[in-house]
Amino acid sequence: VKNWGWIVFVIVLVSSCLDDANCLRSGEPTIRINFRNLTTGLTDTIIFMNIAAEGADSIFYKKYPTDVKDTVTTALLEVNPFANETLFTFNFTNGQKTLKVGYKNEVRFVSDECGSERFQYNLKILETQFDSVRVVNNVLSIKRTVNIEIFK
Amino acid sequence: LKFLSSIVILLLPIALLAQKSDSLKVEEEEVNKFLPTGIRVGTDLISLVRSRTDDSFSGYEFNAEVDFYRYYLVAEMGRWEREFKTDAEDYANSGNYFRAGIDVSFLKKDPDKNTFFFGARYGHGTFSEDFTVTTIDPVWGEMENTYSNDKVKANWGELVTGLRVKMFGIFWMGYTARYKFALSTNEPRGFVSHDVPGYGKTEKPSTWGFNYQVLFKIPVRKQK
Repeated sequence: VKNWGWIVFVIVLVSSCLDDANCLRSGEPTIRINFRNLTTGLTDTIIFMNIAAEGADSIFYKKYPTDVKDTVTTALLEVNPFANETLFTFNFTNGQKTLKVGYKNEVRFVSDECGSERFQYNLKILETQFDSVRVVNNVLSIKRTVNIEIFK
Repeated sequence: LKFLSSIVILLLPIALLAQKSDSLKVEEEEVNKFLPTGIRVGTDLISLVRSRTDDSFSGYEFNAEVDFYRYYLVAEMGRWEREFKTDAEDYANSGNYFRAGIDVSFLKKDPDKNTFFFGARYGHGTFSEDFTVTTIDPVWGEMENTYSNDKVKANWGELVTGLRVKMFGIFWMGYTARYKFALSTNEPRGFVSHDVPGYGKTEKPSTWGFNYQVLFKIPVRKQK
């Protein structure tokens, strides 16, 4: 019995050390958009000057001091973590197109050492001026898997 | 010969009666050993010490155990409150919980009924929690949000092991190590529950717990 008591005590002690919170995070308010060709369905490039988000001072993909064209097949955009929707405006040399996404926010207090983290889930397309857009993954995560495909 | 057979015939029912009474006695003893010898009631010392030494914790826990031979019916109830503060976050919860289950002792022949046991528990807690967080986002600026979960219900299971040792008279001491698992909570989405009274932090699907108990045994039957 004494031996069993010691074994249990050691297991509990070791486990309590292993139980310390780690600061790994899984949430990130970033959507990944892939661009595809509307007729072939294959990955395609898009050329734009920059992408603006309503309510944010920052402009995505803007070059300083002079803005230049960006040619990309995928774009990473940060949604507003304090709201349930974000309107993005893609500025091209010959005009602009908008994409408004909706989502739900969730917050988790990790620990006093690690702080808190936010998650965005239930991603939806609310409005868009693009020809065809679909959500392929409605959860935003640090893995940055593709969330939206825009066919042009 | 006639005389001898008469004696045997006369004595046979007496012998049979004696045998019957012996087997009844054994049966009675078998039944009696399942009658409780007493109720052990106690409290968790770790909760009491933590309440005094850990600013983020305040709580207590009571235990009651009734023996049925080597099987123990166990009920535990308690309350805890936690508070965590950082520069950007302020979290607080409070709630009550209970656990109920059965322990099986593996010390069958201990004269004092000291126990080394394994057992299982069902745990249930009801609690409320509040969280205020200030987030600074490089793109979207700074924002303070407050979240609350009210009257959240939590359920979980536990596998336990431990010791109960008679110190003197009715005074007992012991410990219980707990492997807690299968936590489920019913808070609405938006703010994930952080800490469940009686269970602990929710970030992992299973966790460990440990109690060091002082107990008093109130005898209800003389122990053989």
